[in-house]
Amino acid sequence: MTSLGGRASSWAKQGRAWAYKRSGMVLAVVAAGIIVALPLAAIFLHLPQNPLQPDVESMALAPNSVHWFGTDGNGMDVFSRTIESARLDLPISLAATAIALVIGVPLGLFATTGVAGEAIMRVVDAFAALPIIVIAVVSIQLMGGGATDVILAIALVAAPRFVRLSRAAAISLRSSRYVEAAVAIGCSPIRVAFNHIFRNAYGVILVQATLTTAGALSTIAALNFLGVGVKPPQPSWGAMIEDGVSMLIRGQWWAVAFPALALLLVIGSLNIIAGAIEDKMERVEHTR
Amino acid sequence: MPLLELVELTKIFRTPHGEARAVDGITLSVEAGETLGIIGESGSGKSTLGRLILRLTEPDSGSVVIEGQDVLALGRGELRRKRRHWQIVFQEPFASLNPRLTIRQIVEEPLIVARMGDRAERRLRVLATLEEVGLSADFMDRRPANLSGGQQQRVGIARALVTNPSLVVLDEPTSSLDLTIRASILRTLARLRASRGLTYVFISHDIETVRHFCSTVAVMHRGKIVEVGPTRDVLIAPQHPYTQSLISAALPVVPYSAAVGTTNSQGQTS
Ligand SMILES: Nc1ncnc2c1ncn2[C@@H]1O[C@H](COP(=O)(O)OP(=O)(O)OP(=O)(O)O)[C@@H](O)[C@H]1O
Ligand SMILES: [Mg+2]
Repeated sequence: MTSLGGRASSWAKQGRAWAYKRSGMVLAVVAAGIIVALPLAAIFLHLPQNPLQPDVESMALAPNSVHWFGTDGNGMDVFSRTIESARLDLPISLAATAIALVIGVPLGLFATTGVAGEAIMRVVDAFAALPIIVIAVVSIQLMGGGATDVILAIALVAAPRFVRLSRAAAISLRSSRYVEAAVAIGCSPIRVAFNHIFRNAYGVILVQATLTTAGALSTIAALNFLGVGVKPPQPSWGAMIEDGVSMLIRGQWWAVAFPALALLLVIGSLNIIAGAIEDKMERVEHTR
Repeated sequence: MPLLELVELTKIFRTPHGEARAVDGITLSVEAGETLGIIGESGSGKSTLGRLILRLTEPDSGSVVIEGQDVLALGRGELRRKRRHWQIVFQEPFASLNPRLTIRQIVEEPLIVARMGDRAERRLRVLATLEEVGLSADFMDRRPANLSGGQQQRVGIARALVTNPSLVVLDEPTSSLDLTIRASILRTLARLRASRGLTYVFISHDIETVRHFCSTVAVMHRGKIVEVGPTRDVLIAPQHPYTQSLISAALPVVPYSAAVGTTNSQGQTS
């Protein structure tokens, strides 16, 4: 027999759990909205100023009614450039991460044994030993230098980490009882890899994916700084921050602050989305 | 023709610390409908033998023939297609169930893999099999973590039986469970054996369970079968000193027949 008080408190508990669950979901939806809305805004909205137009008359202006986020050292409108950056920054980072996942995860899941597995890991180790930026610059130079090349270069650099993560998961789970059971009922190696191993490992892989996307944003900036990939005056958040740093000494914070905020907003959103997915999987596992 | 025939089956594990002759030249045969008990102390090679029978581990030498089929001659794909006929239930019920899948997904997977039936037919079959092992339809959408140990093992049994196999290896299916649950699982297994005409290889380290559940028993010691024969003969008049020591070491806490019900001399529970 449950006492009335006991039942009420259990309701309260359930209510709190529900609210928590809801708030997590709402937050994740908002975060996903931001990630989608930013590049769409850059593409479809009419920006208040031309983001690519320098103006010697209005260099380094503080935020005002015409230039909402102020102007940078070349007199370009910081607000318009912050939004415009999303046009390339986000699709490039997300696409690069997606490609890295698609290449890296299957390789990792299957590179656990045999000569082929051995060979794959040699290549992965060799890649990991080189500085990321070197690989990116070289591959972009070899390929030409458009946005697709930047995507491929970043994907190439990021893929080895996915190979390693999924390989580690595959090796540790391969000896688990339920993987043995899956083999015993006649599952093919592909089915075992995806239905049983990947399904139990994608939390870590997902976290790596958000890190990779965030990392891609700074790689784009670094490439830009080296004069490859996204070419000035086309803006990217990373490049805007690089350029704006010199203005900080004179107390002109806005050229750095707004792109940095945008970057934080995006990285934060990615983390929230990853957290929500992980959380959902946990709940699925422990409740019904 | 025996349903299962092992000849000189050998598996040696080579580790940095030396080699373990886990299964050392075992020759055995099991007739259809029979239940062969494999008994022996921990580390005697029972689980390895069970895995070798189903080729979940590759032997170093010897042969395994099930229903006239040389198991070791099968190619990878052929072996996978045959697996639906030869199944296994593991000792650790929770560990053997993928925590991310629902009970329905777990029990349905063997059917999907064997391409048996369409969605609707598979669903019905999963339901029927769950019912056969004593689980209601309510369990379909639950996940392993929300089941008791006994219920988890019933899911393991349902997964093994859903494709209607002829041979089932039971690797200590009840040793991690409470005494009362153990008895009820054994009753279920005995009922399924009778209704489906199953052949079991029943691995255990518990003499009392084997005494009541198995028609034949093989005693394993350091990878070898030291004694094999009808359960009654082996357990009443053991010939080998190792068997004698096993029997004298085993003192039942609760008389098994009291917990499970009456049994006849063939070890079939009624
Ligand atoms: N994968 C492996 N690698 C190395 N040695 C192994 C492996 N599997 C089993 N062994 C060794 O083989 C021997 C037999 O092990 P096995 O698991 O078959 O025994 P068992 O009779 O099932 O024991 P238990 O009653 O504890 O389950 C043991 O000495 C064990 O250490
Ligand atoms: Mg064992």
